[in-house]
Amino acid sequence: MQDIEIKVNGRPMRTTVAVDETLVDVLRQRLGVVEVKNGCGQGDCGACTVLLDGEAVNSCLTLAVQADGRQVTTTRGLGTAEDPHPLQTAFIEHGAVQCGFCSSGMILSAASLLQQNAAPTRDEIREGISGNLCRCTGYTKIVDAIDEAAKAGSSEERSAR
Amino acid sequence: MTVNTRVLINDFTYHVPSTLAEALGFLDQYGEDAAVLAGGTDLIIQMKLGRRSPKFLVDVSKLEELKHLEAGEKILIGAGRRYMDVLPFLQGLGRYHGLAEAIDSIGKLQVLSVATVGGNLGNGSPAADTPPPLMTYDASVRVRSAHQERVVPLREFHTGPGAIVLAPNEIIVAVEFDAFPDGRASAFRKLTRVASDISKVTCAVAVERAGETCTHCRIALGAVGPTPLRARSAEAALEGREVDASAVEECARLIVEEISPIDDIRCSEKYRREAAGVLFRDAFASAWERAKC
Ligand SMILES: Cc1cc2nc3c(=O)[nH]c(=O)nc-3n(C[C@H](O)[C@H](O)[C@H](O)COP(=O)(O)OP(=O)(O)OC[C@H]3O[C@@H](n4cnc5c(N)ncnc54)[C@H](O)[C@@H]3O)c2cc1C
Ligand code: FES
Ligand code: FES
Repeated sequence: MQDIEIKVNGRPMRTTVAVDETLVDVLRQRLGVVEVKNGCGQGDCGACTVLLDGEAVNSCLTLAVQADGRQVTTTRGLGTAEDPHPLQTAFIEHGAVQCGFCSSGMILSAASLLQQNAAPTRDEIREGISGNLCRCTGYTKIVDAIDEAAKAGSSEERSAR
Repeated sequence: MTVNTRVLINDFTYHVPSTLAEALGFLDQYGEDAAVLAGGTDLIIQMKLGRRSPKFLVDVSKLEELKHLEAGEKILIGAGRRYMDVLPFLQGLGRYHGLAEAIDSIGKLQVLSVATVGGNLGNGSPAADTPPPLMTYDASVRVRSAHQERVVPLREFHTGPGAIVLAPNEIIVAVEFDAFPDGRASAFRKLTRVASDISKVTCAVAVERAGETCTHCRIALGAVGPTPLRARSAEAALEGREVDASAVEECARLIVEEISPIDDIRCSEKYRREAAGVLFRDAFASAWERAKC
């Protein structure tokens, strides 16, 4: 067992983990950060996406010990119900959320994409979310939402909060 | 037994050394029981699937010695550099389109943000995307153990599916190749079932031209044999020759004969042969056009 400290959405959290625990399990089961989803467990679906030091990673392929001393951002860290991130608003307005299982990862990949490329084309948006599967929406509404959020200039520094 | 990819089933000790010497010391001590962990996008999955069960993981992500990016007479890419750093480096140099296209084709942000060229080579997959373009650059792999450093030509690096020449106590430090002379250019094409799947067939080409004559030609393919491979008879058929439609057709025919693809869940052997010819024509046309300017 090993003690680790992870800053989750700016809040330092300490816990003791086994080295073979993945970050997604520690977030969900030890730290109660359940907006991060565990889907395929093997890098295919992107439901477990978090931002690790600001960059999108699959938390199912990350050992919790690898996140020691680092910052994890989840979709709750981007914005809240009272003060949503423009991507979150756009997802709601465009009906880009159906069952919602993919949404957290999808929004974080979109945030990461917009950080790297503030004005992506629709093709670039599709490529940016190619690591995230959605079994409900057929993607069109998701791409619409990201497109609108990008055009609204949502890539401001909010995600750094 | 059904596999549950949500958990890691094997117990291991995790080390995260801060110097290469320390990492090499661990590997020397643990031998076959150790595995090098870089981005983990291959290794962690293999451990979850029960295909590998190392007793010691040596995390190399903190090693500055694996992070060099150099562009002089040689282009050197540190094995521990993440794709998201390597891609802009290559795009900035502007000439190494084949390798840049191969990395760009991986696409997924969650992979680009952690995965490395060292891991792509270390995994030894015949379908990996970076070996074919690197082979067309006559690249070499710089390898270190606690006792020695050696430089292995990439064409000798892969020995079979998932098999490479690396000893258990060795770490890949970098991959390197000579900077292109003027007039040389490259391209990469890949065919997948869906955008995010493992490659069915890949083809990389590097050429140099003097007018309409091809003065240098390298062709390499992935996922069409037990290792990534060079299409040597096709290269020989083009080098020194005036390039016209019939030369390219002959070359495509030689490639289709030279490769040894298999049937698998993604597609048939016959399909792979046909597709290899098509990808070659595309990759060649793109590299040839680029070599003009
Ligand atoms: C969703 C997804 C999509 C993918 N798409 C592609 C794709 O399009 N194309 C493609 O080619 N691959 C793809 N991959 C496979 C994988 O991402 C790449 O092979 C990647 O380059 C592996 O790098 P890594 O740093 O994650 O390696 P790891 O998983 O950390 O390591 C892989 C292997 O290499 C060894 N190793 C790593 N670094 C070193 C080193 N410095 N010295 C010695 N041995 C070392 C490890 O011990 C291990 O055996 C994909 C994987 C996933 C999960
Ligand atoms: S749960 Fe991590 S990618 Fe599917
Ligand atoms: S909304 Fe259900 S998986 Fe995307």
